[in-house]
Amino acid sequence: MQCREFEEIAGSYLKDELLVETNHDVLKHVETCPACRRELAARRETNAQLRRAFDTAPEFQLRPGFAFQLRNKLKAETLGKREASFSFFTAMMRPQWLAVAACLVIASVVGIFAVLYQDNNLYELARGRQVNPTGGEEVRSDFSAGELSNAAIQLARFEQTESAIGNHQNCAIKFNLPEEPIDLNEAGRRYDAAYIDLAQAVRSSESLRAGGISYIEDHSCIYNGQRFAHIVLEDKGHTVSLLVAEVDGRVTKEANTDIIACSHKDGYQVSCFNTKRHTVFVVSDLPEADNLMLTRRLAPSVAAHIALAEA
Amino acid sequence: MFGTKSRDAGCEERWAEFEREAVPQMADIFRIAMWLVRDRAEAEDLVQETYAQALEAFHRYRPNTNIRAWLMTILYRARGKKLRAAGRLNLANDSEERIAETIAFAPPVAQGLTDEEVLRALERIPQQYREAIVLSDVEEVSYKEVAQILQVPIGTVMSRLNRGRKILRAELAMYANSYGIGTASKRAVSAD
Repeated sequence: MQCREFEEIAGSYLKDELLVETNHDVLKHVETCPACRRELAARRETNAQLRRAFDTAPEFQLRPGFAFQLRNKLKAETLGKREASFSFFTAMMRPQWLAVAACLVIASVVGIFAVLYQDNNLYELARGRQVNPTGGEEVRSDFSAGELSNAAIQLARFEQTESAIGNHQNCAIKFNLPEEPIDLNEAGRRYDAAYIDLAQAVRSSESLRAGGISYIEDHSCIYNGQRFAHIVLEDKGHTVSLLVAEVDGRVTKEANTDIIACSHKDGYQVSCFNTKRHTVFVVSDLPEADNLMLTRRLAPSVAAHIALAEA
Repeated sequence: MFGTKSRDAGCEERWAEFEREAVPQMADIFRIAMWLVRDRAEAEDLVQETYAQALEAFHRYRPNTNIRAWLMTILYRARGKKLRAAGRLNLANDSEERIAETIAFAPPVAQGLTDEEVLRALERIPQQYREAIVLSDVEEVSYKEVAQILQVPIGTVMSRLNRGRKILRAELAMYANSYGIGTASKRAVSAD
């Protein structure tokens, strides 16, 4: 093979469009021709630069809200006006979609600081013992049932916070769940009455409309073994997840809608509040103050709806 | 709405296949649309129109062929139609040969440029080359499919790519030089 011939087919070689024999000829040629070897490397590098630029530029990323709405509209046009929310996930789990959607995700490692988790001994306390904060020495193990129960609830909520972040990333951003989500009202009938008409309560909340926040869709999904009610919203172009989970079947004495803020070091913000049996999380990549404000806006109507089911 | 159960089943089957094949391509189709029109609202309109047309014509899609290329063809046609309606359609001009003559040498690859600089360099090259490069080298569509999408002969695609890539490399090298990046590249460019 001559250099001129190589130049003509180098592009096809890189696109893997050549016959096996011609591929072999190209390889043989570049082995013996340093100039064409450099040229091939240069073309590879230029293509990689271009693809990287397109993959990472925020302006080229599809808004999940738009994708949801368009898909639902197309489905409704094809099948009539039936609800169209769930098998979307099946389609979205395809690798091509995930490759692009992954670019939208900032976080790589989940590491949270949670105000909920104020006591370093919480894990140990939940297991019925307290350890010396500076070492591993056991200093107390005679806790009352109430203390242990509260600690266990706190611990469960802390773990849920991690799951809430993971669920937001995997369900609302990456569309990457091992189990297909189900209809929220159906989940309400089967698992948790608080989910019934929860989406309606959020959608009709005055604060949602007044705040210019758009409802995208709702469903119930499982992440990390935890079932959530998941309502996807959009605020200032950011995808926001409102997640509601029951706390391990246990009941706290009082509902507490004072917001407890939790933050994620890689950019996701979580704000949460408790009802008697549930924890409500708002997860997004909005600035912390905006995420908190949004949670405060949503808290009254969400808490009131859940309280009816818990009564 | 559709009368019989069998028609319903047909619709469901059609939708299921469309959802499996076409919906997951939406991010790629949006990226191309955004690249073409550079306005999010306009790009979303274009994607919506593309998908509506694709759904309507889905019976014409041949299974196991490249659905992305098929959707891109629809996207380009939809955009062409919009441009014609707005009187903004630029037909490929005859300056290709002239431009090609000025780019006899492909400089080495400039290293260390930001993604934004790479995109700016790409924007500086003539549209017909840019289109071919984005479809072929970014979206990794085959030459034959690029020809089909752009509605030009495959030989034209090859020559546009050949010239476009050289111009792009020159633009990238220029960016690198202007920022003092990649001194090895700078030396190689100026030595030629």
